[in-house]
Order: sequence, then C-alpha cells, then structure tokens
Amino acid sequence: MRVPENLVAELVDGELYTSPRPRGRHGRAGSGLGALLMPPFDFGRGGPGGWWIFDEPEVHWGARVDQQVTVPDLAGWRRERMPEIPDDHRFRVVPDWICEIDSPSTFRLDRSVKMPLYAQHGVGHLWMINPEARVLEVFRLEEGRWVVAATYGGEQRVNAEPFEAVEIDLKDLWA
Amino acid sequence: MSGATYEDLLKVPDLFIAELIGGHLFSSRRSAPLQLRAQIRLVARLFPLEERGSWIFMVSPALHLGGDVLVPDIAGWRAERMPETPETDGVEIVPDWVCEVISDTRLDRGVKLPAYGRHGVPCLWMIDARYRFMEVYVLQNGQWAIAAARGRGAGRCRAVRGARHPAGRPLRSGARVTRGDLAPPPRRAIRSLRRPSAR
Repeated sequence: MRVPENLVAELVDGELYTSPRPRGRHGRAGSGLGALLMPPFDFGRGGPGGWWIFDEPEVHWGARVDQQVTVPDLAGWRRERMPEIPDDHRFRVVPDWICEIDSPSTFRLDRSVKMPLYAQHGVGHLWMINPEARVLEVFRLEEGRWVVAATYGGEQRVNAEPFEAVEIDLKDLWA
Repeated sequence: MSGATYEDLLKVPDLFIAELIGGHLFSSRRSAPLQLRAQIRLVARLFPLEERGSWIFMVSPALHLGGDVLVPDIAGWRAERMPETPETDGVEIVPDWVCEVISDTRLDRGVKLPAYGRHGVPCLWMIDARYRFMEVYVLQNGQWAIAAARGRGAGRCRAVRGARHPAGRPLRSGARVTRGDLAPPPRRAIRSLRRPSAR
C-alpha cells in the first residue's frame, strides 16, 4: 500500500486510514508537550528519567508485524519495559503512555478506533489533547476500559499521571 | 424598547443556561441548531421507552443535586424511580442516565462529566454532533469509564462492541440510535456511508 508522504498512514483491522500531517495549533501542542516531558522524563534532567519519549513513532500492535499500525502524536515507554530503542522504524513494544492530539480530521479515528485499540493492547495511560478547546483529558486503563483520571483545561498547572512527578503548565501547549 | 441590537438580546438572561457546580456559577449560551437537531432526533428515538412506561425523559431539566444545579441536554429516569412528576422547579432525583450534546468541550467534559459522576449518575452519553460521534460512559468504581464509542467507522471498533451496562442496555435495545440520529446528514457523510468497507 502506498501513501503520499504528506499524509500520516495508519492500519487498524485491515482498514487503511490516512490523515493530514499535524499543523498549526495541533503541531504546537504536540511539540510543546514533547519539549516539556523529554528533559525530566527521558533525559532525566529536572526529573526522575526512566522513560523513552517519542514524537510520532510507528507503533506495530499485536504479534504479526505490519498488520495493526498506528502513529500516535507522542508515545512513551518505561525503560524497564523497552530497554533498547528498536533498530528500524517499527516500535513493537506496547507503549506505557500515548498522547493523541485531536483535530477535526482525526477526531473520530482517535476516539472510536485508536482508543479501543490501545485499550485492547493494554496501554497504561492515554492523554487526549484538544488544542481548540484547550482541554487535556487523562485516561487510565482499568479492567480493560478507559477511565477518566482527570480533565484539565485552560492555563492550569497540572501534575498529570503517569507524569505526576513534574508540574506542567498547560498554557505552554496552546498557540 | 426600540433600537435594540443583537448585543442587547444577548444581555437577556433567559438566553443563557445557568448552572452551579461546586460553588461556581457557569452560564452558557443555549445550544446551536446543530446540537438542537441531534437532541431532538435522539429524543424522538427514546420516546417509545417513555410511552411504554419504562422511562421518564426530560429535556434540559434543572437537576438540584446536593448544592449543585446541573442542566443536562436530556435526562432519563427509570419509571419506578420517579412515580410522580415533581411539582418543584427542579428535579432532586438523581437521573439513571444523562446525555450531553457537546457545545462547550471544557464545560461538558471537564466540569459536568465529573459532577454527574460525583452525584452517582450511572450512565452518560456524550454526543459530538459536529463529528457525528458518541461515547457511552458508565460509572465503574466511582469513576467514569468509556464503555463504547460510536462514529463513522463504528463497525470497526470491535474492542468495545458488546460492552454493555445495566443502565445502558434498556436504552439501547429499546431505541437503537444510529449515527444518522446524531446530526442531520451532510452530503459528504452520506457518501461515506455508501463507501464499500474493506470487510
């Protein structure tokens, strides 16, 4: 299957989904959050470290390669669960945390296809960011379901799980 | 009053819905046509349950729960929990189900959803008419859990298919809600319905 490079392509249950690459506010929220989380949680500067945080990694779900593929806006792995970064572009360890940033073109895909997929594979935490409404929803997986752990908005300073060790100023995410 | 403008009209308090949640006052504009259409279509689908005598529904009731005043877009009570229609201004019986048609994401998801949870509403539907999308939340150990999500591509979310809840089941089996009920179908969406699926 060939998809032009200006699109993000994802494959879930045999369906190919293509979405425009993030732009504007959406991109700002994603790169802003990456910049806030990487020093304390990935580099271990000003925080506990112990994580790998990646921007738009290509995550392969399930035992068979190239069958279920999504590209979350951000994903994080605890290093004890993924000691080594994969050599190729395929991330095959289930992430411990995923962040998806809502946009009108990806809203339903994120919430009705990708969220159930992530739950089914046991991702521990999911953040949904809506840059338009300036809302961060934090979900925790409990008994196989996404439970609303917290919903933050506007310019709140938050300690949101699983990254409660460091305070994040939400206003840094909004353009 | 002569020479009134739309600005004057907006100052009229009746155009706002006022809610009191955790000691904070929230005033919101009334829903826009897109949300109102979704609301009326959903009410039409649910009404057979009311006629059958199993549920009582109200559109935008003022729920007086604890110190809070919450106004959901639609609320439902199992008939046995509301044998008489209250003659008070508001309703003090916790609903068995509420539905929010999102008009303000921050208020609906960030403030009202947690408030309904605190008051023990067991089941909530969150409808986004712009995206023709709905989520079913159920209260699980005092926390909101997503039991199902339906939108375009609903047939594909196998992980949540069949997720049921005692409060959700009678509503769903008695009144099947399709995405067509969530908003008037724009032409683009009709095309997408016809697009052959991979399976």
